[in-house]
Amino acid sequence: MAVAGLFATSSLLLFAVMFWLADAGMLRTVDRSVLEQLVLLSERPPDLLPFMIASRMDHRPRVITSVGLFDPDGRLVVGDIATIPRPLRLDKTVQTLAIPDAGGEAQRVAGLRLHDGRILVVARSLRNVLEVRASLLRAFVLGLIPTVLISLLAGTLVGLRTQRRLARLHRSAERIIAGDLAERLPARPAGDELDQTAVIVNAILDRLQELVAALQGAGENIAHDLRTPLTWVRARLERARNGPGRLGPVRPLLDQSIGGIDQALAIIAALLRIAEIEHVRRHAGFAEFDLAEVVREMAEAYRPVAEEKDVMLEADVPHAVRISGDRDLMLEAVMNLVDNAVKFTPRGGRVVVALCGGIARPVVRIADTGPGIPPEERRMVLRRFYRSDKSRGSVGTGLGLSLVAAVARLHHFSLCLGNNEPGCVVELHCWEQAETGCDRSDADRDTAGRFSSFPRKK
Amino acid sequence: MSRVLLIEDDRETATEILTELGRKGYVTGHADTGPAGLERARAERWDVLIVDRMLPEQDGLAVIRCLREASVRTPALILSALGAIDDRVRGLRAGGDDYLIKPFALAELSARLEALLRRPGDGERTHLRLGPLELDLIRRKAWRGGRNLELLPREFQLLDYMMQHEGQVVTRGMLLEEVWNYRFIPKTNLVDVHMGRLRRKLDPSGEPPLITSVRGAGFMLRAPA
Repeated sequence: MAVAGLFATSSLLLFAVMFWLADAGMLRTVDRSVLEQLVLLSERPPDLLPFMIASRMDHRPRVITSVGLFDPDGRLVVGDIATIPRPLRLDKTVQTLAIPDAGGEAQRVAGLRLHDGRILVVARSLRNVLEVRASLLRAFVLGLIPTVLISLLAGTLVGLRTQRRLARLHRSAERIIAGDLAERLPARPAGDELDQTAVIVNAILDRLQELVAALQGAGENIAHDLRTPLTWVRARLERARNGPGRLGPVRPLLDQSIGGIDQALAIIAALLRIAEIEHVRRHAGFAEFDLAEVVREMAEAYRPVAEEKDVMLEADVPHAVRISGDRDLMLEAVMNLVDNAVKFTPRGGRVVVALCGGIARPVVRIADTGPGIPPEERRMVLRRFYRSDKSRGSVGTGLGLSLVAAVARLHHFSLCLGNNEPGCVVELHCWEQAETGCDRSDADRDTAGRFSSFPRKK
Repeated sequence: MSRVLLIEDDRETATEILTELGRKGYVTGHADTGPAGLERARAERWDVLIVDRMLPEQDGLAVIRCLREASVRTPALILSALGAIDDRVRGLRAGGDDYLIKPFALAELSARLEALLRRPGDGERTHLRLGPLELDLIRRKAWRGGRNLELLPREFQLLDYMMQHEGQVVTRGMLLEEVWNYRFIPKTNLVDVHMGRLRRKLDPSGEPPLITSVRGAGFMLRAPA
């Protein structure tokens, strides 16, 4: 817009200058001709003057200046100027005056008192000048104003377009900041500066994505490489434990060592499992299955586990719900959630495993009466290995929720954590969505803020 | 005396396995390439094969496929570092009978081997009987010494499986795969809890226990002597 305004202003300025210069030039020409005529005539021998003036009057074609010779009292002797206009200074100064009885139009007039007292007056009509002025103004109106309007319009349109582009860039940037490293800014390679900047940023993002993948891959490689030596150690310890001979006080140590290694191996297995879910294209394994059956199965499987702890486990799975996905992965994901719920609910608590939301938008909802997850931690718990302070010391790998998040991402489902007051509510929204995470401040449907951890596009 | 052929190219792993199998009383054979293994499998009589998937010159799945095409029906257990479910499916489809992911516990290998060696008899089974234990597979009911055990469906499935593998070690992995059909990393706690409930119903105090825990491996159902 600023540029358009500048353009309009400079166009106006240009016109104004042209107009002024042209006008001044024309006036100068007029004045010059008046003065020249005046001087010319004043230098003639005085007795020839009337004759010259008279012959001028009969001249064909008509001369453009009017001349008048007056006696010292101001009475016309000869010429085509009837009277001396009042305010005329008789010292060769050119003034714009109206000649009485000559139509009242403005003329450039100059006068001079001759040596013999007679007065010589020369005048020239400004009619031509005024006509040109009017033409120029007309040209201005017809030409310049549309030009200004067009430039303002163009400026507005370009401005709007840029705004839209910026809005799009902003949206892409937000998605990237939220964690979607696969997102790229919209750009045309051969476009303007904005596009070129976007192309550069996209190149940076390519590199960033590479590095992050390498980092993640490094973790997985380490896990993978650790597996074999750990298994080897475990085998040795087992052989020692199962071998002949009395072990005495060593036995419990061996048992604990084996247990410790089992824990490490479980973490490795879970980590590699998550990596597998994230990297391998499992859309090929997608098929239709009954989500209700999966949820019911898990609830039943864990009922005895809950009963051991005096935790009441309720299942609320009214009817069949068919969805498309990987049944094994969903089974695993739901199992992790139910396992967590039962694990973190203290004795006498309650866990509700439900499938709600209807056929089109089914939601697997697991609520417990445990310590819950405080809002500030909800982003973090989906990260690998995060253990909130409340769960420290409990059995597990710390990777359960990460795995569920990975399965959710693969299916483009949404995982939401909320407050059960007391306790935690985890919801798995089982329909395809653009964003795969959300944060809840309470069990109602008010989204507190957007969350996602590296969701990937198809 | 069961005869086991191991086709595995990694020295360390082969030694480990062969030692353990020897300890358990198996007669063992070993080949370290695909072709050599195929040769021995065809030429000699074996009760079970252990085939590593990644072999030089010819991969394990190809070896098994060849054997199956030659009508060699010896049960084969596939060892592999590839753990994705698709890989497992591929392995079983190639003609393998079980699939174990490396690295694995020797006890697991041992238990599965035993299971392969003693395959349950085909044919209609409507009743199973073992000592005081009786299972009606049609009505899904179980009795011990005439007492109805009042088992829940899952518990019945568990007991059924244990009976089919009577006298053998059954690992948690096997139970999760066969009884629960979970093909992923087990939260092993689950098996223990269900098994615990079954055992409380099956083996109340005062009666000799039919199901025992096998340390470091799993469980076993055995008829009392």
